[in-house]
Amino acid sequence: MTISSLRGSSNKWIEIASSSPTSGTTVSFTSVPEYKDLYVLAYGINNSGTATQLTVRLNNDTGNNYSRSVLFYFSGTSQMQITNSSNSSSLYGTKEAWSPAAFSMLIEGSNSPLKKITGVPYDGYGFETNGAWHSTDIITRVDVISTAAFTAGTIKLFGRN
Amino acid sequence: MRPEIIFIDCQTGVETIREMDDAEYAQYLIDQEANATETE
Repeated sequence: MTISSLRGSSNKWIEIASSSPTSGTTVSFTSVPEYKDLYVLAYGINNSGTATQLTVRLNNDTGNNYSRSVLFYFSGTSQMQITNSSNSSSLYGTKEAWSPAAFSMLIEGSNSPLKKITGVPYDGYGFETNGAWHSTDIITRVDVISTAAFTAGTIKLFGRN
Repeated sequence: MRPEIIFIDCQTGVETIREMDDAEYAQYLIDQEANATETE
């Protein structure tokens, strides 16, 4: 699977960087250039644990500056849960009881005072996230964090203006 | 042996891998505990 660019409704998405991790628990995109929007795409992700749980952290901010509402699906059941409003250190990409996992996360307004974040799992199981990162800082670092060491998969970061 | 972080410099494309330092490892343990609690 080769993806080098995505076309949005207006501006073209440009691939900023890509990684295919086979070790480590965090993939950290640093020195991210300034874009209006960012897009994280992960696919074929597997890890050394019994489940794949991925979260995203921005600018290495570990404070309680994230809010989110979550729709999640497990074993054919759907539930809605609003969790940890303004009280979380990271945002879910997906949580999977089955691997490999895939998710996308759209970060709108990455260079504006309001960052709206939408995360979608691709295979029907996992967390669908709507949230925000409460910071006026321009995003320069995006971390994708796994609960166990990566063994396979690809993570790409795109930007558009 | 501590978990590793893979850094990708988006300006240069250079990828480096290193073990977590003390602060990163402390945060990693906090994250692990938080995730386990939240998804029980």
